[in-house]
Amino acid sequence: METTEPSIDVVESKQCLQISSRLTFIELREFLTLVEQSAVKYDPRYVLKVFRELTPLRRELDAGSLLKVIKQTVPESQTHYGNLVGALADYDDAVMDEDFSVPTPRPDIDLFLHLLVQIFLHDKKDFNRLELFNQKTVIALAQYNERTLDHIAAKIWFYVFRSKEALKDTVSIRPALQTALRTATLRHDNEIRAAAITLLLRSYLLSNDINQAYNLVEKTEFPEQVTNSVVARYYYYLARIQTIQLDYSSANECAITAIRKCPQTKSALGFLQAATKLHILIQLLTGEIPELSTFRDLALEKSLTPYLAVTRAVRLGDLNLFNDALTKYGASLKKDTNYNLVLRLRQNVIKTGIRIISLSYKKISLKDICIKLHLDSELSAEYIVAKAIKDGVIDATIEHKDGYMKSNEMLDVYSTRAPQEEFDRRIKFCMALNNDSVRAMRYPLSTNRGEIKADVDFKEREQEILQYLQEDDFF
Amino acid sequence: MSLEQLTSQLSKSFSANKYAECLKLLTSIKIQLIEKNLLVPSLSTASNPNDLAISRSILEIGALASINSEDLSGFSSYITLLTPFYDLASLPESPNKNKLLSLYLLLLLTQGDLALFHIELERFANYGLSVDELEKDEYFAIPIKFEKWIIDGNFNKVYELLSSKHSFPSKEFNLFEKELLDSIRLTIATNIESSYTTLPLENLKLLLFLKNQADVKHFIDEMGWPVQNGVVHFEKPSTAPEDEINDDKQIIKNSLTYAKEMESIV
Repeated sequence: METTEPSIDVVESKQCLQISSRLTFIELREFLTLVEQSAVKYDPRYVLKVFRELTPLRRELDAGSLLKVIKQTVPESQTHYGNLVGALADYDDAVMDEDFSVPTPRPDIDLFLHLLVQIFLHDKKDFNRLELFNQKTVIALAQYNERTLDHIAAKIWFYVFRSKEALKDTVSIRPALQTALRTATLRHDNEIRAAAITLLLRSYLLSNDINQAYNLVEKTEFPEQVTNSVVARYYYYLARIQTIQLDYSSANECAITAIRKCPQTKSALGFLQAATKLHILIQLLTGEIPELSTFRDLALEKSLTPYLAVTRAVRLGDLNLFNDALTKYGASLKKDTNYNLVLRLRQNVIKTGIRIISLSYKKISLKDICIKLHLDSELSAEYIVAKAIKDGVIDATIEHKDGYMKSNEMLDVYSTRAPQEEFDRRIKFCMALNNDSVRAMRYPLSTNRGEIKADVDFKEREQEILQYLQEDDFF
Repeated sequence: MSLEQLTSQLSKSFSANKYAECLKLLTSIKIQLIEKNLLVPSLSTASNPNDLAISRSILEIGALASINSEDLSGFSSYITLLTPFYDLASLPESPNKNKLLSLYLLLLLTQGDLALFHIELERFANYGLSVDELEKDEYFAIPIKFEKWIIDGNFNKVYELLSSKHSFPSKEFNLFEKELLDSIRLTIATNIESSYTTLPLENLKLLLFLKNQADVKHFIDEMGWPVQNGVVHFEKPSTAPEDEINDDKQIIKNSLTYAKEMESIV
């Protein structure tokens, strides 16, 4: 480990770098140490810590310090050296002549450097170059077979896909992702698996291949216990697919999970908006009216304006208002790819109408329903009410002889076993939560307990990681 | 026979409405297309739009021929083959495209596969078309209207449109009449089952769009509904007393589990 790490003093004596650049450099070196630690100790927490700190550093990342780190860690003889340096060639402002003789780095370090270059090019919006670099990165990825690469490789795939998406060609990446998914499944690399599944789903949804996406969901098993943000994304895509397939009740659950799992930071705001929009539509489609407070959220208020207008129209059952909202906000709804779903809501106006009638009348003639809902005939009304009863929208019976609909008495829920079941479900949830928490607790390995006591540094780091975990602001 | 000869023979028998002959010819044509690597557009054949346009029109004839001879699964498989052709941007748009795709949508409706129906609709977003724009097309208007009515439960509208044999822009749409009626009849039947307690036979006949008493009787037998004095009774299962006994056992079982868990925590 020492050999890969020339002392920082050498760097400082150069003094040609600016202070910020030097700080970046030092931090990058620190990252590399952590990545290495993670690999040596088989503990992904170190890598996760690096990812957390990477977010603020991204803005300051410059080619000079990045190159310097690369030159200090990867030997020139290795092919990856050429790839890494080549990708940064034009950005190289500080030319460095000195050579370091270093041994071949660990795969973790090598791939992490690839990831850094990817992030750098991505933030510079140089997608063509990123694309070229990605091709080499994918080859590099295939060379390694280490379990500790899981987190880093998953992120690399994310950026590979990002560049494809920026170039508007997500179809050509599918075979590579499918191969990655297959390999990762065989090797139990859960992070890569999760990343590949979500990226494939995204690719299918972007080209509206819902059927393909659905097949993928059917045929794969989404790994448990992976990074929350990936899980959130997965559930969001799942909700989309199920909504299009008219399976609103499961879609509703998935949308709620997606919103709950969504990271609570500013950078995830876009996702939160998209998920909330979808959730509002699903609620409307199932005949529920979303709470007004959803629309009042400061961070979301502006982007939800079209949906508020639509919700108003559905709540009042007013078709004119609905059409107004469509013409006014059609473009922005189309941009959210939610336009077709909103169109489906037109049919829900009738459903909501029936529900309101059933709640307010104990007995009402079919003719009156017909007038109230602006239907053309009593026969239509009879069919529609029958369908509503079958779909569980209302609880009623039709008396054909006298031509009226009779709402069934509201059952007292406390006379049924429903509360008991609900109570049971909640207790079980709490128990499971308790058990999971107990299982998730970490204890230092008993073998090196003595060592740790002496190692103050380790303790500090442990403390630090703990703090980051608690902050829980993962990109 | 060469592919050219076969193709010209195919279009001849197609314009003469000899569909069975068409289907026979198509088998050997398809084999030749596979040999020439034209059945599925690929990167290597994309450079040759003329050939692809020809194989597309062959497949379109196949789809129309199979639907006219009421081979529905054959029709679906032709549509599956055609989809990649329609997705190609390099080909000029086929005049048959909208007709065939809307026939396919109608087929999905009759099979009650609403999920797939909507998935297919969603695909049109690739061409920048949303559902209300599709509805302006004379072909697509038909399946979309039907779907709306079926979702609403407005079945008599469907029946009215189906029984007035005029409005369809092409004769193939009439082929679905029977299938579609059968499928909505079944839906209506399950709706009736859950929303009525009793229903006179005469009314049942009306609601199910059945023509005579014999049909009604046949239908009732199939559904297994009991009839008394010309009135159908729909039984609702009532299982209250049995529930309570189970309830007691369930509560005891649950409480025991809680106790065990609590013990392990303490």
